Amino acid sequence: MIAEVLGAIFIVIGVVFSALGVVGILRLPDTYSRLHASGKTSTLGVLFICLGTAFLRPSAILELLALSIFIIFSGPVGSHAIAAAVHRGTEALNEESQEQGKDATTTSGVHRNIKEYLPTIADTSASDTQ
Amino acid sequence: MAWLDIVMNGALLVMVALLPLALYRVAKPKQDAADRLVGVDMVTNLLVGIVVLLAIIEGTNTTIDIGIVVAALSFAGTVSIARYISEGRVF
Repeated sequence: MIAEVLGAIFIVIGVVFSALGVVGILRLPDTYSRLHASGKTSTLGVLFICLGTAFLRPSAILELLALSIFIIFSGPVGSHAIAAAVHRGTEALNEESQEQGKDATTTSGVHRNIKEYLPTIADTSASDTQ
Repeated sequence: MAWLDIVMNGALLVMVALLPLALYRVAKPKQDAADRLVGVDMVTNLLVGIVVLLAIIEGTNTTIDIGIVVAALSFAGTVSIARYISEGRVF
């Protein structure tokens, strides 16, 4: 009985985290913010669902452990890959965030100034990969 | 356990209802490819959660293996498409 209650509570927590992640990627203004929302909440939502399933079905705990370990490793790596792609390639910030970044106090402002002041690092990294 | 069935089916219903909302981020016009990739990453994570919930409802342990495969394929797809966006090529 106590295991079933704990499993149901953890699964509801996981579903709530997934819902918050979807709300985050729909409502937040630029790509970095959306990555911040989706990269944490989707990983944590799947982990809580796996934890609740481990309480409800103890015979499946090896599969759930394998899935949890894989999600722990692959979630941040995938989010970092998207963030590196945005940083190197596409223009991620919309006009509102660029207006906010002009005073160079926000993270996006610092980010843009680093991109302006260090073009040589970008050139060398581009030439290394070829 | 009637209440547990109600909770599990409700959780599955909410997860499936979240899928079109995340797909709206993918299909919305006038946005970058990285934004669509964020949406695709979210959709695949929701799919892994749905598959694990289906394993409870169906009562089969082998359904979780499908979740492992979905997670592995989504990781490979996310990393290769992110590399394609940033460098213009995958390999």
